[in-house]
Amino acid sequence: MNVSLNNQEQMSLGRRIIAVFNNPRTAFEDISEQPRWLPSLLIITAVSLMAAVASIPKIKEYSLYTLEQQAQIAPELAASADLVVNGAVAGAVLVGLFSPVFICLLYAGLLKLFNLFVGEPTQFRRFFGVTVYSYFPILIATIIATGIIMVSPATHLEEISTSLYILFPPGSKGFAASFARQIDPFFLWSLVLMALGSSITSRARFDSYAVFVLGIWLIFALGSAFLAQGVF
Amino acid sequence: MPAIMSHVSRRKSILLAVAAAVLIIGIVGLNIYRTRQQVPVEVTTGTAKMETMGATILTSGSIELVEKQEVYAPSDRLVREVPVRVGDQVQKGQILVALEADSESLSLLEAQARLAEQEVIYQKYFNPTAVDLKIAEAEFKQAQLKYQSSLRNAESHEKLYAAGAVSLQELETARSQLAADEAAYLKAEKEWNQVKNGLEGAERRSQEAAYHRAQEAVKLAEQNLAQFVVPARIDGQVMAVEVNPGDVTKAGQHLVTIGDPRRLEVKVGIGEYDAARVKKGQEVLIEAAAFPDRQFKGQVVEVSQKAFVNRNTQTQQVEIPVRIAVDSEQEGLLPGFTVDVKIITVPEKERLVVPYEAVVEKDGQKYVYVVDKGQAKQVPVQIGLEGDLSIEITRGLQKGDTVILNPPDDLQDGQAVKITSGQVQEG
Repeated sequence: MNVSLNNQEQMSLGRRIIAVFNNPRTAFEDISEQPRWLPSLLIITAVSLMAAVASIPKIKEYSLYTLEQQAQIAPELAASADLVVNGAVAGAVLVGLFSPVFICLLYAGLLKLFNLFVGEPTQFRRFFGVTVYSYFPILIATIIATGIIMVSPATHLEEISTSLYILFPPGSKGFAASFARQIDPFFLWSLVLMALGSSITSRARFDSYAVFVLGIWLIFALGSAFLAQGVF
Repeated sequence: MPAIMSHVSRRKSILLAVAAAVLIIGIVGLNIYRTRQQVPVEVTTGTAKMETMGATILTSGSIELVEKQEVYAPSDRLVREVPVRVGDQVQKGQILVALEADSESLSLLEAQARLAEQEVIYQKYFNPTAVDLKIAEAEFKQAQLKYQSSLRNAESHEKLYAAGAVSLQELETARSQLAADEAAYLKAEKEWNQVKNGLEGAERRSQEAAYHRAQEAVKLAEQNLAQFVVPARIDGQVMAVEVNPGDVTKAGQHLVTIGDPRRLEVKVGIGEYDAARVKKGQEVLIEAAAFPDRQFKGQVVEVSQKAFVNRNTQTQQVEIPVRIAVDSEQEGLLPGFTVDVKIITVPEKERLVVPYEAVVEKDGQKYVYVVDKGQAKQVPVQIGLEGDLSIEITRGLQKGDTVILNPPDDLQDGQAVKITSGQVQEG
């Protein structure tokens, strides 16, 4: 669906969200004018929290399963089953509640930092608006993953992913598998949207922000993969 | 133009939507497919291998002489003589040390004299010789003749007195002589009968008792003397001499020790949990600090049938005494040496073993999980000897089999496993 931008006609929330997917340039031009990030952030947080709550039964089951495995080696762990399970549930809820805003703030900060060197000086809230609206592909991945979790055995919770890790056999370890876990198309989609939105907002080249954003991601992905191997 | 643009935008949207749908369906489908697959369980493994293994019991003790004689001073005495030195070979009966013992020696002589007297009497009555018989008979006849003579003399004096030829005093003298000769005659007759026929009744018993009493008196005197003039009770070698002639001993002081240095033993105590494993005849290896590079051999000769509480330890352990004889062919060990003892309860030989952690038990049956083409295969096994870190498998496995250590309780036969790298342990 085409959305024509009129300087005097702002997009509604719904149209903005849709435009992020089918006409991101137009969407971010609107966002750069009026960030209005709060409603979107609330939606993102609410959906993320609901997904976490929906996963609680599976998380509990998985925590108990993992504890049983570890208790065979360290029996004293069995005494702390309740603590572990409650901790896992609390952690999932907190992640669902705060991870969207944390990620958006983090990337907004990085983009603002980059803006010191590239493009016209731009307010932080505009970058924040960009990152909030760029989060929606990640939200889709969250919804997909939650749906799969609910229909899959809890023992396979660790195997459920929307990344390229699903191309590896279950239980795969190693650098390649760990790196593949970081290559999530939805997350990369969000990063591309962030780069696009930042370039539009600060009137800079898309390439600059794309290299920066994807470079940050690559460093993080490689570091995570190496850490998973115990190299450091 | 706007219509064309709108058409292109719509087409683009549709393509995007289709692409997104394909992506989502693919992701969901792949995830569901993967959840149907088994997640290999990470396991650590070991290898079944051949290992020399036996069973031993370690303990310690000290070397002792099997047979020995230790001489202690019975009282405060002067040492008269020490005719032996350390290292001398002595024979049974040989004097080891002589303390002052004059009164005891005299007592022995007296007892021997009385015994000799009793032996003569005993022989005369219980085993008389021809000479004894002749003497008794002769004495009897002599007494008889003398009595008969006295009788005739007395009769004659009676007649003479009646005739007033002799005085009363002479008559009484003759009567008195007759009585004495009659007594002697009767005594000689009795003696003759006793020698000829032997003693009877109370007299027999009395004489036998007197003889035995004399014998015992001699033994007692010898024993008393032996405390002070000590003979060797065994053949052996003088191991220690702790006095010199002229020394004055104190009661209880150790004087001399003899023994056979070729016959040594070790007395050890084993715990009640090991008692059932120790049997007479088992080989023993003995190590002494004095000979760090040597091992001596021995054999279990006795396992006590009774346990004792060792009150020397703080925990008062229950111990079963075991005697171990040291092979006589081996030289070097000396009584008193503290030694470490290894009792070989099961001889060492090559056995197929796996780490302890590989064996699990279910419903009374022992199992081992073998990794076969990426899967865990449950194999029933029979176990044998149990070592410190590994356990013998007598049936069920082969050399080189990869076995899972500490398998999870819910590991199933045929389940996919993944060996954790860098943690392989040898059996």
